[in-house]
Amino acid sequence: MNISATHFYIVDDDVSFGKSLKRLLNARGMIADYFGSARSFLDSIPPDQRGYTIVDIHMPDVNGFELMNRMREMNYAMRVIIITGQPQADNRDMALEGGALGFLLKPFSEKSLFELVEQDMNGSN
Amino acid sequence: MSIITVIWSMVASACLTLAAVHVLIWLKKRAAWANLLFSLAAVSTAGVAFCELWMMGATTPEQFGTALRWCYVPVWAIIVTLIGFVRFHLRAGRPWLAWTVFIVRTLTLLLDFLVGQNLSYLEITGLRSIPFLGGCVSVAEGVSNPLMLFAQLSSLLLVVFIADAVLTVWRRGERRLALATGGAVMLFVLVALAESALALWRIVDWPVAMSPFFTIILVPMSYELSRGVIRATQLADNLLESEERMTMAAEAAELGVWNWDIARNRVWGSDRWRRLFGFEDGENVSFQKVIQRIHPDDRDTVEREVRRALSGGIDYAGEYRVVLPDGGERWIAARGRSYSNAKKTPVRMMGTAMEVTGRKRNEGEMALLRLELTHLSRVMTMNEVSGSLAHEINQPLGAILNNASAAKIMLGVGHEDIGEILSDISQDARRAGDVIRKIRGLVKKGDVQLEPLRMNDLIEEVLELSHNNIIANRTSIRLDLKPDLATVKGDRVHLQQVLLNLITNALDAMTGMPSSILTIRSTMEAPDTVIVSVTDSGTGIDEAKMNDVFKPFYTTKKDGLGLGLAICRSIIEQHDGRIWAENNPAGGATFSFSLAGTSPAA
Repeated sequence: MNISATHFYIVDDDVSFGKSLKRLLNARGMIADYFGSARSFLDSIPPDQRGYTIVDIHMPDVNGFELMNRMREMNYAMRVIIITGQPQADNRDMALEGGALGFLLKPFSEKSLFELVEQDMNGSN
Repeated sequence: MSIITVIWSMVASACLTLAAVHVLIWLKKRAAWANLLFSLAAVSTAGVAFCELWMMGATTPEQFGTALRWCYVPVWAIIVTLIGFVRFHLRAGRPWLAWTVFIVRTLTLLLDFLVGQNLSYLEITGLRSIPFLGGCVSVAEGVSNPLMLFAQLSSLLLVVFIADAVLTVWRRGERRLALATGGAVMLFVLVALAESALALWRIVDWPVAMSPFFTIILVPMSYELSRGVIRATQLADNLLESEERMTMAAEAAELGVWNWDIARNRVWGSDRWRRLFGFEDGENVSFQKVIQRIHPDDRDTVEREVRRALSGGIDYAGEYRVVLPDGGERWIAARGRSYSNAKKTPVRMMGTAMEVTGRKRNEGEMALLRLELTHLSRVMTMNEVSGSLAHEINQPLGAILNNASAAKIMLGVGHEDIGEILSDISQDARRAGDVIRKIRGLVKKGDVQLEPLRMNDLIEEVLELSHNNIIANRTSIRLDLKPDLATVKGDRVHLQQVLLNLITNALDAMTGMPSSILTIRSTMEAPDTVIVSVTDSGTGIDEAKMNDVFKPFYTTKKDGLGLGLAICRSIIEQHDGRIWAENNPAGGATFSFSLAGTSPAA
């Protein structure tokens, strides 16, 4: 399975960051969509959608962990990658315990993001 | 030997024994007059017994007459001592009565020797033998002396005197004393004197036999007096016991005990107290001597506090240092209480002292810890601030990185310069992120990503980073890097941070100096240790603070956190290396760290 065919969904209330990540992924030839809130993501994307969701922790209203739980409850097919700018150590633990595919601390390189995705893809092969 | 001789001898010896005992008591305590009087009474009773025996065994009228005459002497003595006993011990009885009895009785004694055969008989004509208590005794026949009435009169007055005294004691509330002692004395005096009167006036055919009755009087008197002795012994025992208990308690609590006689200016101290102050066992200690032992800085305070306690009648409590003769020092915590006389002048001060050197040191350490804790809590709040700060910074950094990466991709081939710039932007963004990640507190284990590193490369990378700073300071750089330096297994970012910190510190140390030289050296020490050192030409490190420079929160900068070197140490120690600082002979300081190298071949 080719990573370039992957569909990414970015959920982050920081518009600047969200846009930049979308821009980067698009430059790599991947499809990426940006949502400014968990609600808008849940309203737009159905549970059976394939791809990867990149979710920021600190969002007003519904935060990243809550979104991940909602997605699990609603049996979303997509794995979640948790991202954040907050350096606290327990964020990582909470993310992985919550069933995230991975945890990335901003600023992260595209390399680390793709490594996570490739691992998951190869794992499922 | 007849039974009479036995009884009278026993009576006499009993009296003499009692007398001896009470004389000894009086000798020990001269104020015990009552005991002396008692002894005299007891001796006199023995005297009476002797005379009576003499009379009873007399073979001639002259013998009898002499014996009877001399008998009046001890009787006089008994009566006088009885009066004294009642006055001094029972503290009762009207003085005029006492004096009357005394005068009359003394008069009768004089008459006894001046008139007739003796006071009782003008003339003794003959002796008769009568049975008495299973034996034979002599009684006199003769002409009675009317003056004997004086004797009986004085005896009567004596009984009245004693009765009156007993009543006074009873009314005073001392029922036991009145009844047991006073009553017994009165009763037996009455009986004794009645007996002799009856015998001498020949109303009844008896010999004079007063002494047994007098002896019986001696018993309650002796008991009464002994009670004082018994109680004194008990008190002495109690005192000894409580003193022992106090000593044990003081020892267990490791307390020294002291007692200052202010008037004589003598300080008594227990062995422990002497050891605390370094005084010899037999040494005489005055208040001044104690003060001299106190540390000069604490002396005034102690003296002041002690005077205040004395004048105010309050307890003294204080802590001070004591300088021992051998130069040693110890902290003492002392307590004292002053005791005044009736004129409210302090005459004595007593108290305890114990060593608290350990506690004082702990207090010092605790004060330091508390300071560090305050710092820590300040830093922790800063931690929280830095947490959200980091978050705020990481967001734009993340965006920068993504954008730079995207731009690079979009530019594609043919725009190498812009590409390079964009690479640098990416690298810096990542590095900034790493630094923020690391800046929050010390490095934890497991955060380390080891890879083989060439320290010389790292040094050059970091110098590039500090380029602006170096130029701004007009600092010259000297590099003394050993080629073929062994590679080191370490975390690139962490070690970069160490180098950056050391270089920044070196530049800061040389700020504003006319000539500043930054030297970086890399060498090897056998067999495979890599050593990197950063030398500045600043003012160097305060020798006294040498040990403190790597401690958390140590900083000479006004708004510095003081964590830089502490973090460096933590990083180097994570790498099983060593970091240290020293002052250069030529001026300035050198910070060096060592790392274990792997094989020289990269």
